[in-house]
Amino acid sequence: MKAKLPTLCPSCEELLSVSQLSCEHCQTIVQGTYPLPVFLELSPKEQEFILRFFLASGSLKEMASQLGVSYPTVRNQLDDMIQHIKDLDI
Amino acid sequence: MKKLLNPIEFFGEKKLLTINLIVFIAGTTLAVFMKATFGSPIDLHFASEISVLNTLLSNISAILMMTAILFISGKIINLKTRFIDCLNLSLYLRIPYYFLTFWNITGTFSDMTSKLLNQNSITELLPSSTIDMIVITSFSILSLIALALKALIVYFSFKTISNAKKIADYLILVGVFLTILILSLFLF
Repeated sequence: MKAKLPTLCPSCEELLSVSQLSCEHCQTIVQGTYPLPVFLELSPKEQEFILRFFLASGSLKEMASQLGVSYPTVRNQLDDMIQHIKDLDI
Repeated sequence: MKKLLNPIEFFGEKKLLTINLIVFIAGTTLAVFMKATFGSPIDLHFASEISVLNTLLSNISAILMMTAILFISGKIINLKTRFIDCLNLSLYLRIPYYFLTFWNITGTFSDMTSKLLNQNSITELLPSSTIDMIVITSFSILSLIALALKALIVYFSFKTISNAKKIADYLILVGVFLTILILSLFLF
């Protein structure tokens, strides 16, 4: 089973940050405090939406037909995500 | 049920427009046979004599008025609002009224309109038989249900059309609706 990268704290549900990175080849360990990439700060549903959008060559109409919903529904999801990313203040 | 209350969310605009236009033709034909005519997006009344052209034009005008209301308020809330979605919703909103025209199958409402035009006394308008009474009472109840249903459809579908979320968005819709309705009284 492929382990899933946790992005939220299991205790307080706040966003986690990266504090340690390691090289599997030479065992070098880098320590520090790094924020998670924007993509990982999004919910799994939003991440899946971005992947689908990318795979559909950025066509909302194509996505809508794949998901079995209408164009305005997909467009609204995209607008909500754009607003969410703007609110993350990156 | 969700698909019935918000068809805009699930069906493509071309498919929906084709179905809506077929329903529009069938509904207008039914309205002509039932001697029904439409004054505004929320009006349905019966006459003793009607012309095909009058019913057709009144239906088209009610649809265009509702389309304008949805499109203007949608554009105020979200510039990405599309005309085709507003037109589709307006056409779809007519369906409950097409069903209501069946209540004039016995000619009860046409007779009452005729009496109203020819008599001065209100007592002459009172339903003369039990069947008339049942028809009028059931029509009143169903009209209210149709209005509530239309309000629900507008609430859910307008959310999809314009991405409306806040109460203020719906207040804009109500404001534009009342403005256009009042303006239409002066224009027509």
